Amino acid sequence: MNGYDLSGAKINYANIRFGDYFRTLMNEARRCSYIGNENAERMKKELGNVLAHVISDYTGDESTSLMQETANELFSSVLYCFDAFLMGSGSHEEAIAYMIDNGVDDIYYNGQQLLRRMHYESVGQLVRLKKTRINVTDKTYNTTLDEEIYSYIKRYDRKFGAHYTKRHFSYRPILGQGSLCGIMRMKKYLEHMTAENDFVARFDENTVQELCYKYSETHGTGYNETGVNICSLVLMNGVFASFAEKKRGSITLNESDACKAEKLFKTANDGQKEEMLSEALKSLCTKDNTDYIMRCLALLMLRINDAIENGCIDELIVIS
Amino acid sequence: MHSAVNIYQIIPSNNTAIRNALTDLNYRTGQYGLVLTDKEIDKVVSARSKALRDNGRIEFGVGILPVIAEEICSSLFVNRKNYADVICYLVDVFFAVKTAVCDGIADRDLIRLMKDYYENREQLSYGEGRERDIELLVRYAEMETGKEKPGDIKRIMQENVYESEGYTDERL
Repeated sequence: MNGYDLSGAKINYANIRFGDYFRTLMNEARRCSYIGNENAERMKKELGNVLAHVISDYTGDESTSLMQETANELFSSVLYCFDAFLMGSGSHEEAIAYMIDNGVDDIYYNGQQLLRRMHYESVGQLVRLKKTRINVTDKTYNTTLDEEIYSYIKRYDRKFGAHYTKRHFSYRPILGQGSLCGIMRMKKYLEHMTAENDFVARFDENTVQELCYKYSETHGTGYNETGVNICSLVLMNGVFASFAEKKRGSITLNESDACKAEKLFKTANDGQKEEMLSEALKSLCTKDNTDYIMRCLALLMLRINDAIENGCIDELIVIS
Repeated sequence: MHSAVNIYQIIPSNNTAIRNALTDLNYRTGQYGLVLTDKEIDKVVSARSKALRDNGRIEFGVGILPVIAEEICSSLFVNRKNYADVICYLVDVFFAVKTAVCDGIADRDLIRLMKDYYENREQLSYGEGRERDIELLVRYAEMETGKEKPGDIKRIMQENVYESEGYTDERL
């Protein structure tokens, strides 16, 4: 804490947003008087210097002015860099103490180092993701892995466009990436995709391909367009197979299995449903992907309830 | 409270620095008989702020005003009387062209282009035909950066000059 005791601080955590961390944290620190006028003025001045430096680099010293939109983009990039670094602090209080003790240029420098590391890490994550690729013909899945992610990582500019975010890749994992943006969002996306690949990898490749093929056949989307998250398809089939008391780890269902599972789920109350689903998920997970799969529980519960209520269970599972 | 770190609040006001730079410049432009009074300096600084605002731009440091002032002081068409007005006009055109070409040309290159453009016209008319000046300078700038072909410029210049002046050349 560098000599600052902010333990008794009345920081309202609700006022701090991770999507705009530096600014909301600074506002909160000012509101609580941890950052006084003098420090705030110093920080503003230093921030101006950092921005001027970035702009000068951006224009290659060939222009003394630039369009407001461009300036705003560069400013957002600088702020993103601060956010990335300060969010790595142990707590909001530690982040504030760091802001008081160190110059804004120091935060920027460290932020740039961190972004560089994240950028390199994301390349490693992509390599790992490709190694665990699910062997399916799904065009969306393969294009995302082979082109979209690579294209984003290749073009990512941590200095002038660190905050730049590709909101959605064509293929979406079960869990979203929240309010994260920039390279942090990319990393989270890669983490989710890898967890899903790892999960699917424990099932027989031919069975997974068969599920995808049958799903696209049922929904008329074409053999190379499953049109659904593959992990979710495998997971749902596994869950329903578990409800139908099939062999542990089975993901194939016939009509009677589906009816049995649906009936069982329908008759259960909310608490029992959650318990059933939780047990089913646990039975499907391995040690490595339990965390990710269990975080999907609430979302899966919602989807199952919705599908059963609307009589469209075939949207979730594939019946052989 | 967001205003604590708003981009417009962290950009330091550089008007004082610009005023000082222009005052210093008077020593050099004085040899051409061109000097800006305090009132005129205020006028060009205001014109700069307006041009930045109108063209949606932000400027850092002392900026382009002293560069423009120094560049045009040797022009035959600039005199003590119109010196400040010419600077006001050029700074407006400068920012308009910069924005129109999406910052695709360096400051120095654009200043040189502007100087060539105004010096090589048969009749100098700083302040007249602003829109036409901007349009042509944008074309020149694009040609400079390889976006426009020389043939197109010639055609556009002919169209503009003859049309705007109501001139009919029998040979055309």
